[in-house]
Amino acid sequence: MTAVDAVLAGAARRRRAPGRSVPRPGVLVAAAVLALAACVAVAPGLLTDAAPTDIDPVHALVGPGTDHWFGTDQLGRDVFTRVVYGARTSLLLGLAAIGLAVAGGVVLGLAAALGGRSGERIITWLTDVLLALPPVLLALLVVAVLGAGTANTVVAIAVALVPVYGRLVRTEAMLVLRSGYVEAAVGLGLRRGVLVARHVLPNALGPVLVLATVGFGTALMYASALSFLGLGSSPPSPEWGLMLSEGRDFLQTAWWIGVFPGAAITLTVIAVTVVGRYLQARFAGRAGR
Amino acid sequence: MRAVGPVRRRERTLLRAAGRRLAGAAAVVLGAATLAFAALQLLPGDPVAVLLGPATSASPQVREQIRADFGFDEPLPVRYLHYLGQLVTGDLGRSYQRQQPVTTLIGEQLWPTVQLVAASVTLAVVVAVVSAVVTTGRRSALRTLVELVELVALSTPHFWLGIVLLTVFSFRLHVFPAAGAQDLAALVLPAVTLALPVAGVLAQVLREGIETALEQPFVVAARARGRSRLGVRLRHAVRHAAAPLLTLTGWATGSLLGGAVLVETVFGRPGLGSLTLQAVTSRDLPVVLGVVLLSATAVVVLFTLVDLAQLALDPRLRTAAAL
Repeated sequence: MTAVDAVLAGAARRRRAPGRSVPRPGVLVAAAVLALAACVAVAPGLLTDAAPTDIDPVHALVGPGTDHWFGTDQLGRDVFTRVVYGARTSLLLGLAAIGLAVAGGVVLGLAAALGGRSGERIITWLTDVLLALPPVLLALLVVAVLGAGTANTVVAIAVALVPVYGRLVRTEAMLVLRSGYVEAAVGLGLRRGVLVARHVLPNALGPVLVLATVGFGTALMYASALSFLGLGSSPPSPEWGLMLSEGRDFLQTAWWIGVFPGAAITLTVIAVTVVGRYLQARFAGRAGR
Repeated sequence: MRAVGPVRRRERTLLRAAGRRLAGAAAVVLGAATLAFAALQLLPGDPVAVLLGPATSASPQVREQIRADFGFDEPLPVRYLHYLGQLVTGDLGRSYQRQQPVTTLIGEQLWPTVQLVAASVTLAVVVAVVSAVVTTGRRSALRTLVELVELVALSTPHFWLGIVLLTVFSFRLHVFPAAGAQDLAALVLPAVTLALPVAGVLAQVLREGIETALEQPFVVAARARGRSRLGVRLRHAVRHAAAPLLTLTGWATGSLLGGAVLVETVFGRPGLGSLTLQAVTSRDLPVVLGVVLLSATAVVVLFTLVDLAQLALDPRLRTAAAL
């Protein structure tokens, strides 16, 4: 999704916001959903008394009802409780992956912007190569090299997303480097390191962080996709993608095991996308370019 | 004869621009191959042991022979050139696990995935064009609804959409089979699953493009000449809006190829996806690299073709600045 949002962000800069189509109440609802997800991730105990790994074989595969809002799974674990506890894992995975991708993008982008002609060529080439690889396949390749596991999937997703941010940081840093105040700072004799840390980075980072909001949704989606494929979190961890993959075997008899965790992923990603695009639109309006 | 001069010059600049784009594409493919070679070097373990498999009683002499045959003794640059040479002749190496050439394995699984991706592309483009053309320039409940559906579609993970469609259409209504790739009916649900998220994105970009085009002066001119609203939209605006849509071709192909891995897993379909997933799980790197290199090449070729087509179609891109 990130590449598309870059395209739409470009459109927003030219003319108007892509987020204009989402009315203000929609943004508020989306922000509320995100706030709820964050609260649940911090304190899952507020919404449910049970534990995500409580097994109750007598009440296995019970459909959604007043006792179990989202039903129970094949081991009698409460699906609602597991979805609530899964928020922390899933959100953290997405956050870690996008954080790593942005950090990598800053390093690559600044190196390209400041590294002179040859440095720029090499990094641009590398970015082009990475952008040509489909992100999901690139992530799978990294997992094949590093092996499966939660930490490795975070690295894999970061590698898959890093070229977008590298390119964006480079573009923004070039814009800042050409501005008058950087010229003035150079004229005042500021050292290169101080110049980058105090002027270039803070001014180049704004649009990057705004795009990273939407990218967080993408990262969350990829993280659950890799767990769904059996390469990320391992059972009995309540991770949304993993729960979905466990639920796949029971679709015929107990649809609720897989459908509710998936709905949680989708709802979070929608909310992130709406809020992210709203921020993009606002930022584009304020920066006036 | 007088006209030949400027035409020749224009042809030459066009050719030069096309040459530059082709060189860029070749550089990217070379980069992907280099990355693949680097990945092969990064994998821990003795390649000979991996090639021979775990249960082997090969003598040290045999191992040395294999080592020499495969060129593992050669210095790094020689191995690199050897690897590139292999790729050029269409040799993607041998699978560690299945002891078969990677090209054979990919060839066996290619057709179901090509079918799936082709069906999804067609579906996504049709859905996107219809929903964008019908709803541009209107402030109506229909448009709000369509935009909401697009937003939901592009935010929905393939694997969840697939599971919901399976639950409803296979297990509740029994309209479509739940697994397999035996006939067209089995293709419907996977193709819809793969197409919808991409269609949501394409529709948004296309609508944005049409609306930008409708603000251009030539639209007013066309309207003043007496063309109808719909006529302007179909004859002029869509053509302009196609440009940003076409630049997304590379992204969409990559997205569909990546999504195919997930969709094939959900529906238990044979294809490149299941091949890739098995290879990733067993860390059979040559197979994964084969699929990745093939996809990257497909993306680059499509992207370059689109780029060249735009160069030929849009005169504005041929000005000196754009070249």
